[in-house]
Amino acid sequence: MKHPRGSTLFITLLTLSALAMLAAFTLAKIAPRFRIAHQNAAWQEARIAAEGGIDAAMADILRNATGQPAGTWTGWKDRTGAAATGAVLDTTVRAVASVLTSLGVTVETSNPIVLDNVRLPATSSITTEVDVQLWGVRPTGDPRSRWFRIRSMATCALPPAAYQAPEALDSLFRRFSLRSVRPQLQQDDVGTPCAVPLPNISRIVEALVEPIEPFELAVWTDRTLSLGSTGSWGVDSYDSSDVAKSNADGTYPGWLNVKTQENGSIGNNAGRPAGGIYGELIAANGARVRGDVATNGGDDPGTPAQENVTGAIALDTARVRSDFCREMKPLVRPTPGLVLPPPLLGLPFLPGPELAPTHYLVAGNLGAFSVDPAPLGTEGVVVIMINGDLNVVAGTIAIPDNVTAQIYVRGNIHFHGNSINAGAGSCKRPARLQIYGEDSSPALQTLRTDAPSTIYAAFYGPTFEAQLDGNTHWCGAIAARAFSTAGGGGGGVHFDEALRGIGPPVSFRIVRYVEDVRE
Amino acid sequence: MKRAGFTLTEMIVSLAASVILIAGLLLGAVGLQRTLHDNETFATSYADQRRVIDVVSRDLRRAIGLSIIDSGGVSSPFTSGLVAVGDGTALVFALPAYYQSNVPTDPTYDKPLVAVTTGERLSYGDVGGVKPEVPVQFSKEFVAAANCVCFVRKEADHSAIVVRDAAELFLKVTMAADGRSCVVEAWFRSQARGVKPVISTYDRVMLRNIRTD
Repeated sequence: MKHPRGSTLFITLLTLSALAMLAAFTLAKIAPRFRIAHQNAAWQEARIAAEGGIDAAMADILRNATGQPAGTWTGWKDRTGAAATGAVLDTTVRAVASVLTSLGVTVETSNPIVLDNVRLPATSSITTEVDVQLWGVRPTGDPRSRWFRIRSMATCALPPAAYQAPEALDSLFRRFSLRSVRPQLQQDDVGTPCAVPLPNISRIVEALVEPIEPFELAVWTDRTLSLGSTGSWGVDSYDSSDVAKSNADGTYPGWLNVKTQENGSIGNNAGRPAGGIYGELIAANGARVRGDVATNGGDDPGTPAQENVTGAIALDTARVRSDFCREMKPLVRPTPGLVLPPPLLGLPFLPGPELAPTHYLVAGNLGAFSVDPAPLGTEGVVVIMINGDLNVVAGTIAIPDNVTAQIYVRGNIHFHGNSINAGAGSCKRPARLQIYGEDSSPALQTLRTDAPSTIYAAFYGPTFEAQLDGNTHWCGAIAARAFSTAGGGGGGVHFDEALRGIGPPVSFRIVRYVEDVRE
Repeated sequence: MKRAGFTLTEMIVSLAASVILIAGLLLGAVGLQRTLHDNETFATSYADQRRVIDVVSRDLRRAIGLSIIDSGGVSSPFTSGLVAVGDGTALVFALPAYYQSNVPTDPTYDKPLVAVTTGERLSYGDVGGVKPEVPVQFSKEFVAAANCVCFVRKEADHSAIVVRDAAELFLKVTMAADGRSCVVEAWFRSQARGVKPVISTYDRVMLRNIRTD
């Protein structure tokens, strides 16, 4: 008998076809899910990359806009694609793009500078490019007014096949560019067009940035902070520019005076106490503080106690915090074209006009000195750069009413028991006597007083260890690596609120974060 | 002549074998279909879960204020502990003003404000000064138009459904002790037959803005 030999092959093919159809159906069902999971991962990646663009801009702002001299914005371009060279900040400042004036309110924004098509090191296989735009807001020549707006757009590649999510709500929410790029997104694709092919996803985040000033707190330290060791030592505030918050001559009204304010905040940036996560970062020693007492961690959130501050018996516990984080960066002295030697025979230093300060260089040490007033009706500025110590063994430092003195010191500062900027002929305004301690690494410097005295000055020295006599009244602000007092006493630090807005930026912080979700 | 053919025994055996084979195939196909359906349901529920977490996280990142409205309509600041959105409890964000208009039909709906300064501060506004913050409410409620329980996001006067058929989807937000970050957790009961496992996903979100509430 002849057997039907073709039937086995036929049945096999039929079975294989059925199985193939089944597999195709399953794949057709599953594959879009995988692609959508991939799309959602890219959506997340785009936000992280856009925030990376903000980080890059912040790093360059810190590098170029802190301190006195303007930096060179390496890597940034203007909107025409030309490389930004030299003091771009100043160029940006002068190139005011839009001035909107209505009802007496003026809004000004500089031309932007951009980082174009930055390709980020991929954390996955997703191709990502970032465009960053940076504007100066209300630009002026004054370094204190360095506000910025950063806008960062990141574009991430999606899987090659463009799939709309089955759930319409997903499509509405994530807004992928599957077949075309929305016009709004094209506006943010500055410089060379983005090289990430369609389909892709773009997300945009923005940050507003403001400067951190050197004299924002009564006491700001980077390592250790130990307050006066008696109950009568204290930190509080007043406002030398407001007679309702100071004496008639702008001086500190006294601890019990009704004009005295409660904005004398202190903060220590030290990361964590020795030997653990939680524990003492500020030793209050029973002293009084009329203001916030803040540390960078140290408080165990699982306990009601505030482990970060010890000796807090006289503190308002509601104002003790552990969320302080503020990096303290050394300031560099200016590099002017013309530098004068110090006056001979103890004669006063001479100020220059505000826009052309007089610069003096003291090669050695400097003791007591005074500054001549600026011509009547004008404001004067004098910059004194001291390579050695500022050592006031006797006498005082006297700054007149219409002059601002900026003192840069590389050595130690010792006032002994002498009152500073507090006697006759002195303005008694801390903002008029700004003392900047320069970095002399690896050596650490000291700021000392060692007898009862009154000092009207603002000090910023990240490498200085400040030690005040317990009976010293420091009116102004102190920012130093460490702060302590010696000998007990009823002195204190009295923060002058008029110092806000004084001094060059020492760092920057983001004050607003938004994501442009309607682009 | 004797013709070739199958005996009765052969027929019965072959039919029995065929029935078993077809039954097996049918059962396999039905099982496969059920598995596919379950996976579809899981994928859809997971996508819903992912979306609700992403929507809440995006608002948390840019919020400058957080509060809870309980079932009695009483509002309180959300500074610690947790909030389970649902059963009349809503989470309310205060977002910084950023757009010129919050009316979706307005041509300036997607146009950002400019940066303005007020004294020593920087914010978003226009020639009239800084614009006030925008309230956003996130709740789980029955929506008549969709005829189901939904997660709903209301920004200013505009309401949008985030997840439909959300009766089995739950959401809670836990504030960290330092008040600077949150854990957003969503979970749903799987629709698979027999046991209904709870599928949970969470994100940890750092609040980017300084709170002003």
